[in-house]
Amino acid sequence: MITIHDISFRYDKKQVYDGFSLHIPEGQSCLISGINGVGKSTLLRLMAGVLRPDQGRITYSPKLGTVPKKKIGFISDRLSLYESLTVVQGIELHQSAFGLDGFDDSLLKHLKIGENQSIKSLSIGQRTIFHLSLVLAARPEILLIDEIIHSIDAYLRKFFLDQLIRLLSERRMTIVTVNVNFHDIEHMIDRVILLKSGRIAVDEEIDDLKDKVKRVVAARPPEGLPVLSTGGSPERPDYFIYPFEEEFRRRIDGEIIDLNLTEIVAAFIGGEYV
Amino acid sequence: MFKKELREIWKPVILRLIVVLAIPVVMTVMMARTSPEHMPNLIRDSFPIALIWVANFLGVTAFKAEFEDRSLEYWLTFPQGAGERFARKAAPRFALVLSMVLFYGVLCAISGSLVSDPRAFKIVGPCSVFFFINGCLCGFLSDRNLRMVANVVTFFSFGILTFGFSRILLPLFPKINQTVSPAVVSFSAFLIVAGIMGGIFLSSARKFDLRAPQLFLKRVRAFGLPLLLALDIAALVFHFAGHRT
Amino acid sequence: MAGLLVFPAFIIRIGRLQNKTESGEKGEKNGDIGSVLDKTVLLLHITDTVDKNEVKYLNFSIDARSAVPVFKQIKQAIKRFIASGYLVQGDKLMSIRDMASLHGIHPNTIVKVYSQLEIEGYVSSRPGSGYFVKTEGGQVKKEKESFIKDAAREFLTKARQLGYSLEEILPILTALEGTLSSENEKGNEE
Repeated sequence: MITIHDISFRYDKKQVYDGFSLHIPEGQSCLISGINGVGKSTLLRLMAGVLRPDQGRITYSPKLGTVPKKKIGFISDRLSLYESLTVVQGIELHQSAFGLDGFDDSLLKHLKIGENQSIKSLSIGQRTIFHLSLVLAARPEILLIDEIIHSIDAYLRKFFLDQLIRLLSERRMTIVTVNVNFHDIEHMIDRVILLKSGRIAVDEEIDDLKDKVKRVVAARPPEGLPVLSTGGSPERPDYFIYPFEEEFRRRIDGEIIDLNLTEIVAAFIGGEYV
Repeated sequence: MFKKELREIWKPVILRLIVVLAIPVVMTVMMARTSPEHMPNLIRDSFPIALIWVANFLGVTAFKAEFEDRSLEYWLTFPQGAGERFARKAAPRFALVLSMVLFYGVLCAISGSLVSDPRAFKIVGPCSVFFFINGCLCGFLSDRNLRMVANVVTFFSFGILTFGFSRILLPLFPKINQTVSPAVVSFSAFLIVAGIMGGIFLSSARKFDLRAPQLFLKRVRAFGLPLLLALDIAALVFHFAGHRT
Repeated sequence: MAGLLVFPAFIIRIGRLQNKTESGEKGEKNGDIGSVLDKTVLLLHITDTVDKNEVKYLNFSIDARSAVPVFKQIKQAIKRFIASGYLVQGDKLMSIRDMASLHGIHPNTIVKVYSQLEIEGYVSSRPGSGYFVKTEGGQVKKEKESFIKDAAREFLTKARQLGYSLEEILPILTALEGTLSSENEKGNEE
């Protein structure tokens, strides 16, 4: 659906990407994570066309037609909109820009967002749902969502996810989401990509990843096993093993613990800080 | 606590003060140097300057809203061809502002007939338009402080370079009648200022994405403003050196 | 086992139509199943005379920490309920969308669960209506055995860890069985 061909990109004197490639197939739900500042949002913006690569190119499936942007929905972490417009003006602008006829304002009505409220005056939660309504109105094939879920309240978070699920039940969509906080969406993810220094450090399907990363609590550090990072306390450290293989079980004198996605990603990132 | 806050805000505050006080200060100085008989004329002469400044300001605010980081990011998600559609939406707003500017210009032209130096006033109308455009370019600068500095520098550069050019051009074209030559001088000054700012803008906007405003800002700060200031100094030196001979 | 995280409590909602006019009894189970299924759509329209859908809520937990994929966990849970007889032929599983929405799971995962269950013969799908439980004798019996064996294995392992021998456990089991059956009788009376 989206193919990034060997791109290079420089931002603010920093070479963020150099010879970077990635392919995301149709219908996949992909999570991109990594430490703050590694370039996740930049990657999403590049996919959305908001930033253009200095070298290389990004191509989309022919299914998106000649004007791919029409079928790409992008929600940036800044929830970018025209601040000075009212809600109804914002809807009109969006419709005009994307060539839409009608607009489903049921979400807005549900949250009692007034038509003549200025966009600037909306709370973050309202703004998020408003932005989502706009983006979904164009019935996008690709949805690019930058970390916005964690800053809104629990009810709206659930509401947002519900809308997403409702849409996914009706149509096939490719989703790429950037999150550092993915507790809520863990079960929506097919594929996990972790970025490090402008490169892909990990690229696995979530079920494979859960098989490959384990936490070992042992009296002695495991010998000869690929340790990703350590955790626990200095007196009783534990070890994160990646890639884990079943035959390791025989060699380990201790407890082998399965991990959830948050713990797995923390283990990877932990290796960068220490 | 207070000291820390002070440290954070002193720079923009000082800058803002300079900008706000610049014109009154200049006018005060001019007033001090003018004898009482000429006073009413001075006030009348200053009026168009204020109007041109307003035109500049309008240009800045008109563009500022469109190219603020968030708005620009959203705008960049629009499909191709949206540029035209957007222009259709934005055009009424710009047209309104532009017509206000022209209205001012016409007012000036009319009031110009009442003042001591009609020549100067005939150029205020076009000046307003020129400065509207200048304001628009400055509006692209996303840093508020730099925007104010650029505004002031370009505004005064226009005036200073006009002085400088008048020394060069008037002797060169003595045959051109009295009404036109100031216009030519001012126009040349404007071309220099707009040329520098516009040139930098075009070079930053070649590959238009979210980085364009940042790039424009960097280049204006590093290259554009210093160049203008250098030219201003050269023009002033040239002007006063010429006076002495 | 380091902390089975009950995250979140799962609920399968099943719509099962009560066929009062047919049998006069509550919850007809095995008789005339074909006709119950056939009449499913029709009965939905008769809201006044027939009781509303009986809804079964079944709790189980998804272990987010487990290396067992989410879809497998859900599949096994549904199989367990079928094996235990709590879900019976004709019970309609919750729609894919509602299931996904309730638990914040990608609909594709639910589709995977339901379609695999269909292939394995536990449910059948009717386009437009949904997924319905299909209990075939042989399959259920096998699953029942496998589940009870797993439960037993866990129990015996625990017992061993605590140092009990088989002879010591048996009286405990018999006593427990007695208490359970008397509780059951009380429940039935009510």
